[in-house]
Amino acid sequence: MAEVDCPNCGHRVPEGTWCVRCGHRLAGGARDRPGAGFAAAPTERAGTPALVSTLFPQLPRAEMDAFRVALAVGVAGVVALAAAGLFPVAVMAAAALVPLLTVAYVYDVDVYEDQPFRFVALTLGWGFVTGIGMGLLANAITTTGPDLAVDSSDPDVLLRGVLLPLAGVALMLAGPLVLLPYRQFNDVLDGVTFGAASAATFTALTAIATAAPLLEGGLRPDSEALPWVARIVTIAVGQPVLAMAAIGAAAGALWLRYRAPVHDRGALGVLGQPALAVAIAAALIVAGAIGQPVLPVGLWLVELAVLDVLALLWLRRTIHLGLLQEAAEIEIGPEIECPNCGARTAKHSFCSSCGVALAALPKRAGEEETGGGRTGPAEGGPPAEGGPS
Amino acid sequence: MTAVAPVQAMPPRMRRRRLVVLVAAAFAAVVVAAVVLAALLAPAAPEAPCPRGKPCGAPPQVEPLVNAEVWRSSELGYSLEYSGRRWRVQSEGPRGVNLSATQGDMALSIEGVPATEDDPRSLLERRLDAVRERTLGLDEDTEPAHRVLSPVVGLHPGVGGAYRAVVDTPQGATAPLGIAMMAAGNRRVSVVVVGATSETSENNREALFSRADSVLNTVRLPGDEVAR
Repeated sequence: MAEVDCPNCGHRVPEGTWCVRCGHRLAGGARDRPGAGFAAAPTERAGTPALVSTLFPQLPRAEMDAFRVALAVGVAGVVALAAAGLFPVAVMAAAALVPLLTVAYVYDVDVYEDQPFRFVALTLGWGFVTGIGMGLLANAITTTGPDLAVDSSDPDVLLRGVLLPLAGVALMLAGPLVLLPYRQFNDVLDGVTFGAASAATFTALTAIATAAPLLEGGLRPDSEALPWVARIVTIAVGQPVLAMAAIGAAAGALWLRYRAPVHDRGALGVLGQPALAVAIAAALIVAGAIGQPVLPVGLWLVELAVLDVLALLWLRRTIHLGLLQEAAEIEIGPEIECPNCGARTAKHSFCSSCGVALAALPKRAGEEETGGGRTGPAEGGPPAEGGPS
Repeated sequence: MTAVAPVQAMPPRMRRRRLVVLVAAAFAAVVVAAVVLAALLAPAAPEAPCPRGKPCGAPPQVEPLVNAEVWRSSELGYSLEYSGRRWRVQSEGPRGVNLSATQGDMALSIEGVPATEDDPRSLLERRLDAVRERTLGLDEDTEPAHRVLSPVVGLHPGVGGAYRAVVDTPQGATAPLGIAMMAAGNRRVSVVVVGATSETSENNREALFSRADSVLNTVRLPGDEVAR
């Protein structure tokens, strides 16, 4: 196979449209600036806040379309339920939408590899259980009954808008952090996926547990539909996307700091500092929560949309740089068939034909081959096998 | 990072069509479960207390107020009485008081303004807007049994209506509320009253609003003694 020098990373790489090491476009074109294409979806720009390719980065391109359709149809469905006045049903369905897609994603791409129980228990399961707890706790310790409606002073705004969301951030991160020492989960992308999965189920189950009393009000209670439609969109998309992106990015920073080689740890700049990343995630979540009591629901939805974009950009940068950093550590391997485009490509980090990050595609454990692999322990890191280090 | 066992890129486990069908099926299951639960837990429709065309029996018994607490507005001079056994003061100010039921989930807010500041109708509208901001989907309650037929505060006929809304929090939308609002006044003071309950049982709701009525009947505006 003919080789060329990549102008971006400087390595000798197989000739093709894309550099197999750094994902830089070799064939020229509009997006041949270093880092212009998103490593997990090279047809998209790294600076575009695309929702599906950021939250579900390991999907091949064709599957991303299916997820986009499922998400769009799901949102349209819950909006239709709200418009029809079926508010309690719309709330439950809206809360379930993104977690269902997340479960389908982790199953579809086999994120958990050979540790399904541990992964599910400490991410999806952890978010499920702690989300229910948070919903019940919020209803128990804050004023959520008629006093809240008639009393113009709101004594619990600090508790509901700041303290409970902060506790939520700690809970959403706590489960995935247990997986941090495990050697088979040592990619930045693993941390991102674990954090996002935990956040998805946590946010959904908090909303469902909080809304349980709604079911006692009947199937179609008298209510103005328009505010409900806006609120349903916050439950279906606004809040879960914010939580998944912020917690995913914070978890990615933690993985980068504690699992990546020493010389890779500065890849994200100040955003890669774990303390700062967790603080930023907490600030985003609190900013999203505090909007509810102080803004009309329509404006709150707009605020959440802005925060979602910021969080998605942050998460996207974390994934992109994480994939690039990991790619630099690998030797070029034999030719394989790209699961994304079907073309033959040298086994490394990016497909030379479509440019997708191969690490950002479905994995199957136990089918390892020699050469061209990626991800070893961090310098001074844990031993080679299995368990926590 | 040292290169070790690589991870072989593989096609996704599910075909696209199957994936969409599975997600749609799971989503539909959630919707069906929510519909079934909401239908099972829905409150029973209110029943007419008297059969049509037959004597209705004795009028409802109202508990006599014994040792009633008196609350008086320090700024506007109007007053009301409430049973300390039934209500506790949640918060108060120079112009109004918020009471909370000691049994059952109900809040009762009484707020006054000088008549020169607001008439009862505009005061009601203003209060309605405030409640709308603090709740989700405030709308008129179309259930005939919940209608406010003749709004009266103390000795003064006024304006009012019945509404429904839902309490909303950052964690999620929560309790459904039944709300009744009334406003009345004289040439010196306008008073608006908001009663809200999250009780969905018709019997409990009726009992709580009946207790709220007992408080509203005791509202006395400055000048009422002269009028009598």
